[in-house]
Amino acid sequence: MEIKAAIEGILFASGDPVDVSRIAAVLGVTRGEAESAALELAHDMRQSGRGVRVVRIENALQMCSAPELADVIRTTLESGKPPKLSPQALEVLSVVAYFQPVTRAYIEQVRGVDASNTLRMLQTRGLVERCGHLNVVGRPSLYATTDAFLRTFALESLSELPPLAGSPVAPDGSADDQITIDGDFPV
Amino acid sequence: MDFRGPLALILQLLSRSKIAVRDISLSLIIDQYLEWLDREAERSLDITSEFAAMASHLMFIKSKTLLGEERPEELEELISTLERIRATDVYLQIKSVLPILADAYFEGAGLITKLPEYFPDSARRYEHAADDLISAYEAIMFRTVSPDELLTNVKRGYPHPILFPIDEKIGQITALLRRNGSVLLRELFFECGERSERVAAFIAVLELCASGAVSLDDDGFTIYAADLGETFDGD
Repeated sequence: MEIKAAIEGILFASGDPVDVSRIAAVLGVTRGEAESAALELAHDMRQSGRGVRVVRIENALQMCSAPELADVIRTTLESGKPPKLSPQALEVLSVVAYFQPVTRAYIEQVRGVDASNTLRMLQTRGLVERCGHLNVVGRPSLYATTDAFLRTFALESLSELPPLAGSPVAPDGSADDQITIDGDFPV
Repeated sequence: MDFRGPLALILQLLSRSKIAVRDISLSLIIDQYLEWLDREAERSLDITSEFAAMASHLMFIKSKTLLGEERPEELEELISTLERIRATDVYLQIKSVLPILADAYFEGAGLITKLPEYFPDSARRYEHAADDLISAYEAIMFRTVSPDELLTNVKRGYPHPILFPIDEKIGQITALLRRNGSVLLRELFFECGERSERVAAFIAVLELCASGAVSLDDDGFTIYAADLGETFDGD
């Protein structure tokens, strides 16, 4: 059986992300072989200008439409554009993405305002999910991003998030006042 | 004391040591602090004096800790200031990447996925080795809980189905209200024979309130007839 074709068929039928290990087990190949075949498939689709793409989300693969066809598809299916994320929602989502798992209190400490409604909205849209409880008094919920978050932001994994400035900004916010220790650690 | 500049340095030292602000170890920070001062002492007198003042403040807090105070007020103040500064740093860092993430969201929004295909015959078929079946059989035969007991335990976890008709309860309540004008909720529920009837009574009250037929008194314990009309005649 052609592995690439099998992967294409599985991903088409699934719709949802499918773990590479599962595909490898079903096809009777090693994980490495399945990954190579998936990579080749994704490359072929891109090179030949196909209308669908294979994207990688952490350890899973998912089939989706080519991004350049989004407008045509939405017009044909009379589907509206995806709702925009407000700057506030993007802030909350970013704090969760970079510091997950985090509590609501942490998000509010960073932003200085209530985040409960925004968190609820992000959960409804499947971008954030509860992933457990912090083992302190009150056992507050911990939040993390979902696979849908990665796909929505065109990321393969969280490691692809744009790096945060490694150095804390001077407390008064002015870069001119920064002092460097050992030449590497601006404070 | 102006904590701002020196505290940023402490935060940096803390992040080097990979410890949380709440777990601050003053002796560790002081050691690092003094080491830094030794190296940097000759660079700028202003900076050095400011940081030396901070170091002395840390020494003061450390001394109070050693003298028996569990968490001196100054340490709490220091920690809360550090946490506030760290939160501000994180917020500024996050703000700096928002434009990139907004672009990524725009790009990712073009990736449209489909729902999983529906397979009508989705029954799973399992294959088990003989040894597995024997083990399962033995586990059933030698289990300590009897099947009857197990069933009872399982049933206990489910709520009882509502057996008492809600329409009938609505009829009873409206008839009662026509007679008395009002009724105490406690009496209404107390007179119910079993759980399902109490549930029916509760739902009936909600229905009647929602339809405007009855109203809840200000005391929250009594309902009275508001507009029963002819539809709520107990039939």
